[in-house]
Amino acid sequence: MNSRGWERFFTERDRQHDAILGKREPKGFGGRPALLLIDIYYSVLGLAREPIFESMKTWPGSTGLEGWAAVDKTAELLAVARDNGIPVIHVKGLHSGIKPWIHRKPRPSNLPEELALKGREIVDEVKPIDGELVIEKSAPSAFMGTPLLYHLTSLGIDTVICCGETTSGCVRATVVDGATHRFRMGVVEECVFDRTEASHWMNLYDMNQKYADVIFLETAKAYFEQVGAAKKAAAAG
Amino acid sequence: MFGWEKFLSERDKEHDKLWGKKEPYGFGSRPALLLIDIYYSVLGLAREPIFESMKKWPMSTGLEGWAAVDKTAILLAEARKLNIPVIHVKGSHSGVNHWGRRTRMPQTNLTQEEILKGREIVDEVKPLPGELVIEKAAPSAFKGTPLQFQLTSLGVDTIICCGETTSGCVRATVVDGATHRFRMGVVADCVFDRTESSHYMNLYDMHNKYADVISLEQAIEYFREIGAPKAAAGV
Repeated sequence: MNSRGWERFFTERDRQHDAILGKREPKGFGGRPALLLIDIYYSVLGLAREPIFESMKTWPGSTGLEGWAAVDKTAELLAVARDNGIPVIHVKGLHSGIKPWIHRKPRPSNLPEELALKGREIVDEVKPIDGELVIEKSAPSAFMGTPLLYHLTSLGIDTVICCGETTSGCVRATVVDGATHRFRMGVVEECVFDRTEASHWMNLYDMNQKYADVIFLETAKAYFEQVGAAKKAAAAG
Repeated sequence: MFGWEKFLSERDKEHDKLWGKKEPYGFGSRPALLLIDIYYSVLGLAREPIFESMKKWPMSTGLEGWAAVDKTAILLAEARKLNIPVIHVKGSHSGVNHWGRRTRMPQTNLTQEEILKGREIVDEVKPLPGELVIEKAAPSAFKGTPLQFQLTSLGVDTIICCGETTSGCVRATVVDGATHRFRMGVVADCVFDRTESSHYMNLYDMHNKYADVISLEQAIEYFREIGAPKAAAGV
């Protein structure tokens, strides 16, 4: 199901607790999934593929090489989704002038305007194609203040498979809201990324335990292929 | 700062130096105190260590939970004395389907009477007449409830949170509060969890993204600063 990579952050007590209350079986997915790609734009990756601390010199929000590795895996899953007619929805930040959700002094930035604008673009590797919905949000969760729920309901979606960043931020917030709206939520372990390792893994643990199934990329691909085959069979029959 | 350091990897510590939050976001002048899911089924009826308590109450947080409840009672008394609005949140049991789709609920030998008792807010922080009690069917206290209406109606700009679990309903409520542009506070001494690593890493996440994590003393001091001029104005 997943690597349980969070175990290295457990205390002894957590291990003992997990043996009693921890999740052992997936909650399971439905027959009508969508793929949701969350916040995969240049400013959290940089323009070049560099280790995180190098990349942060230009792009303070960068996730470095781990981010790029997840983007490449996401591109694989995106191709499978498109091949199998799984609806794809892209989510990115809204830059309309609405105030941010945290009351923090803006960090000084030495990025030229042109680069700052480039930073807001979804990276080429997972770029939306014609007909794919792109949602702009001004909240951690893709559901808040956006028409995402309307679109999912309209499509008859019952399962949302998530990729993107950060695991502990917008992915987590979106997964909690998706579960709240009673969708079956999936998080692809290799396709989500973060700036902080402990946050990445503990949020995967929390999501798997409470709101979602955390799954391997191979499982996600097989699931989409299975749904695609069923669709084709239904169309043929 | 509040115990999360020991869970950070070496890389995380280095990253935190560059990117981590250095100063609090700060609070406003019209706070409310929000007590989230402090009912018996997550604590047990007796004060016992977690694994002992779980034999009867599988979702128990044990003695750490009770310690946080006692601290919360101190802050609650202070809020009441200073006329800070208090809002209690608990689970709704109206028949709406759960969000968790849990596949493996541990067997319990709870009687119907105990199950009902388990849903009650514990005596130590029990609502007084006039204090709003909100029942929710979601991790976040904002979802599907009139919480936002009440906060807007009261002119609240800051929400100070206590309760459980840090990694569950507290976290979800804090994210939604920040989304709605409230200033959020989390009292480290007054939130609790079943999993230590989740507890501390969620405090870290909330502090770095959505809220100021503060101690009980800081919360009391903040309420006193706010409450004093309010009392003087006769509000």
